[in-house]
Amino acid sequence: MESLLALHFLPQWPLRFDPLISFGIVLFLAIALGELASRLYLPRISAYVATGAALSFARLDPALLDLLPAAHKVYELAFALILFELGQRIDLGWLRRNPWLLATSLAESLLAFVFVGALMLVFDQPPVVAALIAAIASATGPAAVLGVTRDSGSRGQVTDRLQMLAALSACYSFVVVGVIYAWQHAESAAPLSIIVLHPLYLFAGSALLGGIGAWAVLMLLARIRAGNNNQTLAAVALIVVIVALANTLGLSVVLSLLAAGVLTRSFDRQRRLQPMDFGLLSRMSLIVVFVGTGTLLDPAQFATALVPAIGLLAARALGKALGVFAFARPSALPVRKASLLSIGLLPMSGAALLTVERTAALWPDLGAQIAGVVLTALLIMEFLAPPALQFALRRANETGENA
Amino acid sequence: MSESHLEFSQSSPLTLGVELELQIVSRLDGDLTGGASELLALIERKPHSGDFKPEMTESMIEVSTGVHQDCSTLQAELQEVRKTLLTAADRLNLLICGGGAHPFQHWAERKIFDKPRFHQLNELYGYLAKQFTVFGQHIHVGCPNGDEAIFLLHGLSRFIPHFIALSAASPYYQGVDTAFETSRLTAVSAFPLSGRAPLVKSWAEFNAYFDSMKESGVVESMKDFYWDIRPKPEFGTVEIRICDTPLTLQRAAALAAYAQTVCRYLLIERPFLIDESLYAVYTFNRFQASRFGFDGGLLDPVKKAKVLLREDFLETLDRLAPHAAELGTTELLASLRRACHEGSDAQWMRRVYAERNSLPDLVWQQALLWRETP
Repeated sequence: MESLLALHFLPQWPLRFDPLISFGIVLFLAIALGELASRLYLPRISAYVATGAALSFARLDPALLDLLPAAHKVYELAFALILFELGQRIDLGWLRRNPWLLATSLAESLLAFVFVGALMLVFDQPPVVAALIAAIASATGPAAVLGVTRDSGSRGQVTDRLQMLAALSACYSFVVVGVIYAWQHAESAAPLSIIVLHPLYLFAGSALLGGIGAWAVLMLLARIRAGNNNQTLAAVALIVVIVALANTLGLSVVLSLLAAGVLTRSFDRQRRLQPMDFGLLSRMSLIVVFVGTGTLLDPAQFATALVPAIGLLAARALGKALGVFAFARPSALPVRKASLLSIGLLPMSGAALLTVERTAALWPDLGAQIAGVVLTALLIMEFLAPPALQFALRRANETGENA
Repeated sequence: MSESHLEFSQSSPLTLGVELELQIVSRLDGDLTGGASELLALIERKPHSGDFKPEMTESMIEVSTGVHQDCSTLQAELQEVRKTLLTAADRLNLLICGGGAHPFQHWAERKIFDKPRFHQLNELYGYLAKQFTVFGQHIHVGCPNGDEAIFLLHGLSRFIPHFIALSAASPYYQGVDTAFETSRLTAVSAFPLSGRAPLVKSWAEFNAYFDSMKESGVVESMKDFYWDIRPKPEFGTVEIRICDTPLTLQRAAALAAYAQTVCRYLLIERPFLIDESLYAVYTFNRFQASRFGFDGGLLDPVKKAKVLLREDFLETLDRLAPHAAELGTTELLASLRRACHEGSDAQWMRRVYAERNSLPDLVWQQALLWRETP
């Protein structure tokens, strides 16, 4: 025994684990479950959410709390990468060539907003709360859409429209949330200039930041051989910088990155860039985002908010489907594909998480009021939507060989 | 007479009809994408000229014209058809382009169009079905009766290398420069009933051949023959299927004009005897034209001499001149003479790729050319 203690380079007993180990274990678990899910013809994303949910039931080692700010940063970066990637797949020219598609997009978001808002008023929520919940609910999840369409190698009309509608609804949702913030500022008697200027600053500033980012991406990448891996890595570096700048300037990460993605494509007149394939990095991002969402499960809240959350999801699904069907014919979509598209629009946006946090930071009461319903609904949808989305793409005959 | 007897419908001699198989391409990355079913549904909402049909995979659409006496009205209808197609494609955010094969698609990613016949073919042919995502132009020439159709079928085989060199537009396949002017023909050759038709001399003999093939269960209908040239008894035509879909409508119309003029020359002048010597040189000539275009060699089955394909084609044009004047195809044939000097669509594709160094951008330029050339 004596001699063993002399070996001072051995770790002390009991072992004190580096908190990083939980990150590794969770990642491994998520990947393993994802593989299992795909054997069962389920989307991998569902397994990631399940991993997160399982994690939320486990009691956290207090030492892990130190990791939370870092985890938050990783989540934000991962989400940013996904938004940029989705943005690159959006062709704004399509809205010019087919204006009814823009009408579809406005209708599905507006109807989801109105139906959810009305329902929340029925549930006796104050108008600001109802409006905020409705604005969050009106968005379709860009990460779920990108994740499932990429995972299944989908190509075709339903896929293209889904990506377009998800990206646009995320933008509207963001703008409306900005306006509601202004309204809330008014109720707390902020000067008029702030009410007007804050949303404007958020919107214009984010778009401008996205534009500068897009320009920088193109300038830099034009100097790297096309198709080279370094192009993708350089883009990742720029995305990190854009996220940091958005945070420093108090702008929206969601809007800045979507704008950067969309504009890199619009500015690329000579098609020097392929839509970039972030490959493994993108897969890692999806794992982080969906495991992160899964950890939100709060069993206590889950029970009380369950009914309004289910109501919210139903109202939202109805609004979106009505919007799609109303303009299916003029926007040149066969009825069968319109129903599949409506199913595809079901996933809620993980941006809800960021919005709830931000709201809670500004007005803790308001944040707490919306958190229960929104996060419960988000979590239910994270489980149900990816399989539904994959089913819709399969039925549309748009999935790749292995899906 | 057995029940399977093929009735040859009568049609006015030398009338023309054209079918074009076109690529449905994504604006995102220039790769093939699904969209045939939505395009067809959208186009069929309104009355339109021409006919639009699905093909083996969701990334292909076939357009065809009505029957024309005259190449100029054929060209006009093709332009109408293109307008209808592009209007629909724009609303679905799709690009349409010509060319015999997509430069970099991966065949395994293709989706079979949801129709019983295509699923059956997919079952039967396995990977060949999806590899058959290649795009050709078919030209129908009207024949007064079955015997003349058989005569034209064999007579036209002498000119097959010209059609190959004039239409070649698939130098890239699965992302690689194949060194061929047309790689599409190799994809077609993999099918068991491809290549040349048997040397039967009359419609009655052809019927006997068809009956034996049907009775032995090799084929069910004429559709199962993938020959370079085949009779089409329902239409009363002989159908030339060797051409890649060219990059422009103008070239498609010129190819039809060339077919019409050669057929008139064959029917009126009866320049050579139909016998097996025509086919002795067939595969050699077909390969030379696919690989080298007009720079390839040609074994002339009549003169029994090896010549340069370009020279043979230019000589043929001279011989056709009086018939072209009669038919009003002189101008379109002149455009082919220029093409023979200036280079094929395949060479245009190689030039564009050399300048821009990107296959997706090449596809984009093909789509622009398809849209903007008269």
